[in-house]
Amino acid sequence: MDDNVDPLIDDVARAMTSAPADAELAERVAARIAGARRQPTRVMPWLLVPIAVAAMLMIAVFVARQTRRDVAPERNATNDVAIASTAAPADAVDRGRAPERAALHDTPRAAAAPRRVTPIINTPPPAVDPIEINAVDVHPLVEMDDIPIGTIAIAPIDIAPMP
Amino acid sequence: MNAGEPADPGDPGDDIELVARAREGDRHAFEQLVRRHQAAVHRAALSAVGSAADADDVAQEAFLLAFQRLKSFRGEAAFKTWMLTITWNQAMNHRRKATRWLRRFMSVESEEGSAFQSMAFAAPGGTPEDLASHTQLREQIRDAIRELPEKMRDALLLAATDEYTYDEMGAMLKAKTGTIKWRVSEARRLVRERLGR
Repeated sequence: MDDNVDPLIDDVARAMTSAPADAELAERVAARIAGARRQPTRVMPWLLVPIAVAAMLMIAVFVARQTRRDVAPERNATNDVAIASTAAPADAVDRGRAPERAALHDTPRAAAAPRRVTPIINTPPPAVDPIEINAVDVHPLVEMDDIPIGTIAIAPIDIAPMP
Repeated sequence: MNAGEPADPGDPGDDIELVARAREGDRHAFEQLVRRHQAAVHRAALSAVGSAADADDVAQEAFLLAFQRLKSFRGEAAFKTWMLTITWNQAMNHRRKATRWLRRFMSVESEEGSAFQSMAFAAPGGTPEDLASHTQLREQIRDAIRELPEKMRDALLLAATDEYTYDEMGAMLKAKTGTIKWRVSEARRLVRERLGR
């Protein structure tokens, strides 16, 4: 019986997958390929809104950072000198250490070091002639006389002892 | 070959030439490739998804994907094998995405339009009793095939089509020839066991 069943199994299996393909499959594929070529970069409109918002945010952050950077050098110029002078001994200590430890020590400090501001143009200090100014004679605003105060006589007060 | 001529999938050399032309933007060349292989592609898709309508969708998506990836086809395998691999992957995605697969294979007789469900079996001539008995046996076999583990069922359905070589089935199922032969044999045994024969 098994010999008869196996061909029957194959036959049923074949019948399960024997539906014909869509006659217009090739045309539909060709049409979709043509459609895809006609509109190669079709961006959906709703996608533009978040992109525009993100772009505006980036520009705002960039402008804000630029503004802060322009102000910061003036304020930090004197601090940099002080930090540079305190950093010098640490370098001297590192020279005596093992290279690995010195490297480890250097990395965070380098990251934390403030940005140095170098002057754009080295101009000599301007020569200014001293200005001669006459002494200003200022009179006192109010002249006061001494106020004579006489002595005040106070009589002793007798207080009786408490009972 | 004109669009109206019958497809001839037999000559892989022609496929290479058509692929080369399609790569250069010749849409008619790709259309010819579609016509040549649409039966094999559709049948593979149908083996995987079980519904003629879904198989049409899978086949269409597979051909579009193949067209997009045409530049990556290096000709190491035949175009048909490459195309069948793409088709099978698309069909597996389709099967994974939807619960349609489970509905079609697990629910019994309720759905119309499913290729596996609505298949009309040809029965040999004979008495009405013979005819009824034969039809009943075929339906039992169909149910038994539907309830096979996926790997067994895929191998049996693909092998039964007589459309693919074992190498092509191996490329689709990502298994060696020996493994596929064993799966087909095991699938038949499980169906027989289910029928009590």
